[in-house]
Amino acid sequence: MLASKSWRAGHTNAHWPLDSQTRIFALQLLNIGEITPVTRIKNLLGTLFGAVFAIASGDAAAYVFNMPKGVTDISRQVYGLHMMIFWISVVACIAVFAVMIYSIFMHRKDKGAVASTFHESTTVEVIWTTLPMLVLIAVAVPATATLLALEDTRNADLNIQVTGFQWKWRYTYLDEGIEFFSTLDAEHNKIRQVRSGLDPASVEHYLMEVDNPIVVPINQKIRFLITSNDVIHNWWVPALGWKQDAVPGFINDGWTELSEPGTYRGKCAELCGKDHGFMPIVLIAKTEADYATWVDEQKASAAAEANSADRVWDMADLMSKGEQVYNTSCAGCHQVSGAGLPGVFPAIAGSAFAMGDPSAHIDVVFNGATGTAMQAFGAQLSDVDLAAVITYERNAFGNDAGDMVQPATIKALR
Amino acid sequence: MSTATAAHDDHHDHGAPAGLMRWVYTTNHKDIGTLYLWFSFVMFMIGGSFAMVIRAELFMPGMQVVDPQFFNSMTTMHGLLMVFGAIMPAMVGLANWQIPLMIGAPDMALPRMNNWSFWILPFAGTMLLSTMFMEGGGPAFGWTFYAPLSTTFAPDSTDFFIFAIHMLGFSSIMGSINVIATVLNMRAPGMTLMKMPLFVWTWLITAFLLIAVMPVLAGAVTMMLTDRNFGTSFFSAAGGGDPVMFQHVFWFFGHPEVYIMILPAFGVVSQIIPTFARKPLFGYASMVYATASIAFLSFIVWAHHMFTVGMPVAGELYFMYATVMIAVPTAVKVFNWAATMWRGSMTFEPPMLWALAFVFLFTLGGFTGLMMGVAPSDMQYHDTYFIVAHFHYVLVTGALFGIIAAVYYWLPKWTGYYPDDRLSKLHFWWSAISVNVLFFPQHFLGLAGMPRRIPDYSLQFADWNMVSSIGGFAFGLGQVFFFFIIVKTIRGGEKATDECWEDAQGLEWTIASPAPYHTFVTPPEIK
Amino acid sequence: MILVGDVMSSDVDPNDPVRKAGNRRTVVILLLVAVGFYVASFLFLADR
Repeated sequence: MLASKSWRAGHTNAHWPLDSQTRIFALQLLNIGEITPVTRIKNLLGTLFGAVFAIASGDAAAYVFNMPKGVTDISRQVYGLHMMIFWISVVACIAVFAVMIYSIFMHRKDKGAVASTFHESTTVEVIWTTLPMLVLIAVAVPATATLLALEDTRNADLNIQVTGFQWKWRYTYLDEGIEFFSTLDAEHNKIRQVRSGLDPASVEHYLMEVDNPIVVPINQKIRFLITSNDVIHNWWVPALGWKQDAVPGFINDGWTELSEPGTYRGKCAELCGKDHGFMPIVLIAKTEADYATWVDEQKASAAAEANSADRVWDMADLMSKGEQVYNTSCAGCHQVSGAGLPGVFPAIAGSAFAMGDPSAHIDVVFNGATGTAMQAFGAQLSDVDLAAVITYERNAFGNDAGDMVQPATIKALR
Repeated sequence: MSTATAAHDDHHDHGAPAGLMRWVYTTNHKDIGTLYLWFSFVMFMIGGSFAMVIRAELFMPGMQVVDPQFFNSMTTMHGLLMVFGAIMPAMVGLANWQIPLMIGAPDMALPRMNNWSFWILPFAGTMLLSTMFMEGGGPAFGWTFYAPLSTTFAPDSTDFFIFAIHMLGFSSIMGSINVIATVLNMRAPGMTLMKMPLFVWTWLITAFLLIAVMPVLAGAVTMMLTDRNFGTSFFSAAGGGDPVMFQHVFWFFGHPEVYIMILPAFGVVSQIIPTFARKPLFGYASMVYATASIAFLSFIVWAHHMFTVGMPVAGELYFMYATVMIAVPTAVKVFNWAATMWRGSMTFEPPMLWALAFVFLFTLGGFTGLMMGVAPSDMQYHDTYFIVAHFHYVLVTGALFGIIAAVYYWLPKWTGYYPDDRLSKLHFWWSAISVNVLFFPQHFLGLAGMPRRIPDYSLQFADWNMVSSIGGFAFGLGQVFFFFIIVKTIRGGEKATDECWEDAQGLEWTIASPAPYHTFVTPPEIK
Repeated sequence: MILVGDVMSSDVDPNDPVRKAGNRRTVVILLLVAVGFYVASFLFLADR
C-alpha cells in the first residue's frame, strides 16, 4: 500500500492531463517547432554579439558566453525561447536605462535643472502596466508549446532507467536487459583529489569523462526513467535541452531523439553531498548498427562476468580486484586510505567490525545500513566484486583479518 | 509595560544609560536598531569570509584549498548567514531605527519584546556557527537543505542547525509582530496609512509576509527534526513520505522570503530617489499597490523553483504563468523610479549613487528572473551559475545595496555627522565595479553549463571563474573599507544639519541630528 | 475594534492606554496567525 502510494506521482499518465485531441489542437494552434525568420535573425545577432565580445577579449576560444543550441529539436526550441526572452529583456532594459541615463545627465541640479512637481499620471501608469502584460502573453504562447512538447514522453522506442547514487549513475536498459554503473574516470578522480598536484589540463574533458558511458541509438525516441537510490540528484546533458531531478522513491521521465552520432557530456545538477561535483554524464549516440553491436558486446561481457563467479579465487586476485572496486565504489565516502571522515563516514582502517565476523561484514555491504548513507551494494555490484571488495576491506589499510570471501558465498545470498 | 512608559514620560529628556548593561537591557528602538545593524554587519563579514573561501577554491580548476565536504559547508553557511544573519537583521535594524521616526511614534509598540527579538539572534547565530566545529562538520546540504540530504544523510550537527533556524524564525516573527503593531497603532495623529512613507509601507507588507511564512519554515525544520530523530517519514519515500513535499513546504516559505529581503530595499530606494531628485515620488499609490501585489503573488508562485522535480505539466504551466506575472508590478516600480528622476533636479550624494546602482542592477536581476520564469528555458538554467548570478544580482546589488544606501542616507541622522564624501564615493565606485566583475561572468558560466555548488570544474569554465574570483576578492575588500567609513563617521566629521539632505521630506528630518535618545514623546502634528 | 479603528483613522494618542490594549490585541491576533501557518504546514502533507 505504502509502496504503491509513493510511486503514484511517478506514473507517466499523471504527467499528461490533456487528452490527445486537445493536445494536437494546441500544438497546431501554437505552430510548435517552427523557427521563424525573426528568430533566425535574432540568433544571428546573438552569435555576432558573442563573437565580438570574445574577439575583443583577445581569446576567442577560451571564453564561453551563451547556452549551447544543443542537438535536438527540443534543445533548439529551448534555445530559441531563451534568445527571444533575452532580446525582449535587452530592448526593455535599453528603454528604461535610456530614460534614467538621460535624466541623470540632463536633469541634474548642477546643470541648473529645476524640479517639476508632477507625481502621477493615470494614463501613463495604465500604459506601462498593460504593455508588459501583452509582452508576457506573447512569451507565454511559444513557451507553453515548447513545454508541452518537452514533457510528452509517450510512444518511446527505447526505455532506459537512470538511477542516481552517491556519486555515480546506473543505467538500466529495460528493453535490452543491460545494466551498468557509470562513474568518474579513474585518472580524473586522481587529479581532483585535494592538493593532488596533478594538472587538470593533462587530461581531456576534465571531470566530464566516465568509465562506462551511456550509449543510445540515433533516430529513436528514447525515454529516460529517472530515479534515485539515496538523495536527490539531477540528470543533465545540456545538449539535450533539459534536466530532470532524480528523486528517491519516485520515477520522473524525460525524452530525447538524436539525429547525429556524437558524444554529449553533462553533470549532476542537484547538490547530492560531498562528491556532487564529481558524477559526470557521458552520452554517446551511435548509428542503429553500431548500437546493436554495442548491445551484443555488453551482453557477452555480462555473461563472462557471471561465469567467473563460479570459480574459487585466490587472495592476490581478490585483493587486486578488491582495490579496484573499493576505489570506484567505496573510496568516495570511506576514503582511499580507509580512514573515513570522522562523524560522517566511519573508518574501515583499524575497524574492529571490518576485522570481526565476516557474515556481519558481508551483511552490511550487501544490505546497507538503514538510516545511514551506507548503501545496499548487493544490488549494485557483482558477486565477484562484492567478494573481492569485502576481502580487500578485511586485509588492506593494515587490517589483518587474514580471511577471504569467495564469490560463491555471495552468490548463495541472492 | 505601562509603568515603564509612564516613567519615561515623567523625565523624557534623559539620555542613554551608560555601560554594557545599556545594550543588554535596552528597550529603546534606536539602541535595538543599532544592535541589529552591528549584528548583521558581523554576520555579513563572517558570511563574506566564507564566500572568499568559495571563490578561492574556484579560482582555478583542481582542488587546492579545501575538501569537497567543507566546500559544501561553506556554500551552505554562506547562504544561511547572509540570508538569516545579514540581510534580514539589517532590514529589521533599519525598521527599528526608522519606523518610529517616520510615523512620529515615541518607540516601537512592544519595546521589551523588541529587546528579546534581538537578543535571541546572537545565540542562534553562535549555535549555527558552532556546528562548524562539531564532529562531521557543519550543515553541508545547501541553504535550501533539501531532504533527504539534510535528514538521513546529514551529519549530527544538523539538529543544532534545526534549533538555530527555529530560534531565528522566532525572532523574526516577534520582530514583525512588533512592526505591524507599531505601524497600525502608533502613528501620530493625522498620519493616515496613505500618507505613510513608502519605507514604512514596504516594511508593513514585509512583516505580514514574515508572519505567514516563518512558521512554515519552522514546520519544515520540525518535520526534519522528527524524521531524523523520532522515526517519522514526512520526507522519506520508504516510509510513505515524499522528499518533493519538503521542497513544496520549503519554497512556500522560500519564495516570499526573497521578497522579505527585497521589499524593504524597495522602500529605501523610494525614499532616497525623491530626496535627491527633489521631486515627489511618482505614483505613490501605485507603488503601494504594486508592493502589495508582489507580496500576494509571492505566495502563489513557489514551485517555479522546482520546474525540474517532475511536477505534472499542468502545474508547470500554472507556475510559469503566475511567475511571469510578477514582472508586471515589478516593472511598474522601476518605471515609477525612472519617472521620479525624470525632470527632477538631481544631485549625486553617496545614498543616491547606491540607490541608482540598485535600480540599474536590480533591473538586470529582474530580467534574468523573468528568463527563468519561462519553464522550458529554466530546464536549462536550473541549478546552474545562471541562477547564482541572478539571485546575487537581486540580493547583493538589490537588497544589500539597498541597505548600504539606507545606511549612507540615515547615518547623519543617527550619528550627527556626514560620512566622508570622498571615501564614500570611493567605496561606491569600487563596489559597483567589482560586484559586476564578480557576478556578471557567472551568467556566462551558467549558460555554458556549469552547475552550482561544485568545488571543481571543467577547463572550459576556468577563465570566467578566475575573473569572478578576482571581482569577489575586490568586492570583499571594499566592504571592509565600509567598516572604516562607518567607524570614522561615528567618531566625527562634518556636522550634519537637522534636515541632513537639502529639502528632504519626512518626519525623521524634523528632529535633531544626531537623533535624541527619546523622540516624538509628544506626537507631532501631521498636516 | 481598536485594531480596525486604528487602520481606518489615526487620530489616536500614542500614549493612550486604549492604544496599549490595541497593541495587545494585535499581538494576540498575529501570534494566532503565525501558529495557524505553522499547523497548516503540516496539513499540507496530510493528504499524501
